[in-house]
Amino acid sequence: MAPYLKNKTNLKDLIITYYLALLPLIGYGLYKNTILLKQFKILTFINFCKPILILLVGLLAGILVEFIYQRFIVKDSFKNYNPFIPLTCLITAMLLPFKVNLIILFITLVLFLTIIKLLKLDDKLNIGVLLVLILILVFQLFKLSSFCLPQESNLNLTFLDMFIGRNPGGLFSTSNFWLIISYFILSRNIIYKKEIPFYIIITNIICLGIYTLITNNYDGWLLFLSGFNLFASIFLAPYTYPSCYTPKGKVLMGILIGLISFLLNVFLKWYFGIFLAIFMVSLVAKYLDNLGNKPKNITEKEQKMLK
Amino acid sequence: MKYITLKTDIIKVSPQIPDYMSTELIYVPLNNLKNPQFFVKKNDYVYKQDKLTDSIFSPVSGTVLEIRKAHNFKNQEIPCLVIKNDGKEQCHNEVKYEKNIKKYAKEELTTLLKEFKQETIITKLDGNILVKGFTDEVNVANDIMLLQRKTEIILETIDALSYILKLPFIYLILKDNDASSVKKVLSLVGRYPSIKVKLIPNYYGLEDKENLQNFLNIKEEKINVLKLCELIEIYNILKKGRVTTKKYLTITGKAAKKARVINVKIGTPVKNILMKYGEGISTENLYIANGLMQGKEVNVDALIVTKDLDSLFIEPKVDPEKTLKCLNCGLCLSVCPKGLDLKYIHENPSVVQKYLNKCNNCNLCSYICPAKINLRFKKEGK
Repeated sequence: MAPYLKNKTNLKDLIITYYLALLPLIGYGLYKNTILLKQFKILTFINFCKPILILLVGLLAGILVEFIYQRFIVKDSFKNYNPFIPLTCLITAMLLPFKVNLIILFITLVLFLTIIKLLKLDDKLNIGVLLVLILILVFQLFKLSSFCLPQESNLNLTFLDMFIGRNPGGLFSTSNFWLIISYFILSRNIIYKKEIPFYIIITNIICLGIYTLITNNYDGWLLFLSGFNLFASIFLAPYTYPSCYTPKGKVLMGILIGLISFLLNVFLKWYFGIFLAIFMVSLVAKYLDNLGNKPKNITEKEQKMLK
Repeated sequence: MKYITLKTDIIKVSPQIPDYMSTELIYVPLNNLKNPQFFVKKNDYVYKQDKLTDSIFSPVSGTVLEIRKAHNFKNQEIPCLVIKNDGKEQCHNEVKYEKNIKKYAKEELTTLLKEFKQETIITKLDGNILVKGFTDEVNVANDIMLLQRKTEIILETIDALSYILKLPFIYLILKDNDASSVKKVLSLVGRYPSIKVKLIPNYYGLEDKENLQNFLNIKEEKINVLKLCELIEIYNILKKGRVTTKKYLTITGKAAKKARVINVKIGTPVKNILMKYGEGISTENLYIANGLMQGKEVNVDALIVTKDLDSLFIEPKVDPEKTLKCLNCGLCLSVCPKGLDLKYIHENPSVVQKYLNKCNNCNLCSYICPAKINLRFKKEGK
């Protein structure tokens, strides 16, 4: 049955592109959290290895859950293997602070991922932001909420420092410069929904600009430049299953996430507003698609009939 | 709509075009006529261009045998009148050569076309005309070869049409990747001020009239697209007073020994052509008529050359790629020339038929799908 010709781009390409796009961030993160930390004289062997250990724990948790699920629950020899699970775990781990407890991280990821898989929610919810939100809650419980090393808290950072990513925050998510490079790498893949991060960032910038003009308050920009917004917009918001797919839907989704994250960041002073914004909007993505989805060449009468 | 170029290996076609005219039996398709009124009977000798029925002309001279079933490019069984070809190509009348095909009036042109039962062409002469000098399907070289071999005939006919139909100019649309044809046309087009050559990128889907019109941003309502083979048909009728009995057929594909364009008689059994050119017929291969994007697998043993058969792809049989769950990427929607949201349609089966009436079967949705879902398969309700 035609077509006998198929485009070679597939899910594997998208996953590889994601890993490639993460490489510059991982490289910079390792440099920042090992070599740059020398200035604080805390570079013990454990500290030196910790950033890479956090990544490995994240990745391992994802692979383990997916392996156990496919091997012992589905038993269909990895036919429906979801490569997004290990990838999402790695992305989640990249957002974590230096002080994170590896055992708690591993247990939390395995436990909640297993629940998500058993409930078959991995293609219905944005698992990346869900995991981040769960981890935030867990670390609040264990009083591990501070993202700063004590030595880092008194740094005087310029705009350039923050753009390059020298600020405290997620281990591998602070560099706006490398995030922009990653965005361009990902945009080369046709499956990647590049419009969503673009409109989130544009909305954030417009809202922050207007807010700054009115109030003369620049705090929102600090949050914006911390890297969380850009990282989550680029790597988590366009998660293919629970995001919009129609052209107008993608624009609407980006604008809504940008708006909600701005409100949460600026008015509630919540550092992680972007994650909640993505999670909330992804729940209504289907409706946004229907709003933006009016197929061409269908008359109004036919539209009514379809309803 | 996002315009895309199909990515596939380009198979180089041999520059020679061999003629294959000497097949023993010619299957003249009866075009699904309900009760054809035959002007000939069994064992009659017919001359080339003799009327077999009211609307069908004999492509060869020879003896009328019987009615047999054969397959067309859609793999449908069609009745055909079989003629035993004597290879002499004898005609009743000498071929008349009209020096100047511009001398016809519009009414005369229409009458002549009616006489030769070219109703499809007649309908296309009402309004402005675009001449399509390209094919969407990759590796189908008929139009490229026609442009290279019959450039002057094509340009002369377009010029004559613009004169006869009193059109200020006619666009000849070419794809910019077809450098040799573009060069050849541009070197000669200066003689014909009524022809405007328009180059377009190598995007798939522009063969569709509506897409082409949108792409070229032509807003006029009455626009018709003429194919090169239709121009050749008009030329033959005006110049020689005859219909075309031959056509170009591209034989290509990954399993083809040599990709080539062959000039064949309409009605020739395809298996004879394959045998003649050493391709053979193998159960290891798939035989696909009219392109990899929109074509159909055919039974090559029963297939005959009809006016609508442009190409035969010989492809090795391979296991289909693993199909994944829909990735919700929206690529099918972004490439659909008709703006159809296939994901929405398949999630709402009750509206399938309503929406798919608008589908032009370009198959871009299935081509682009990264989950390798064959949406055409789904469209047909399987």
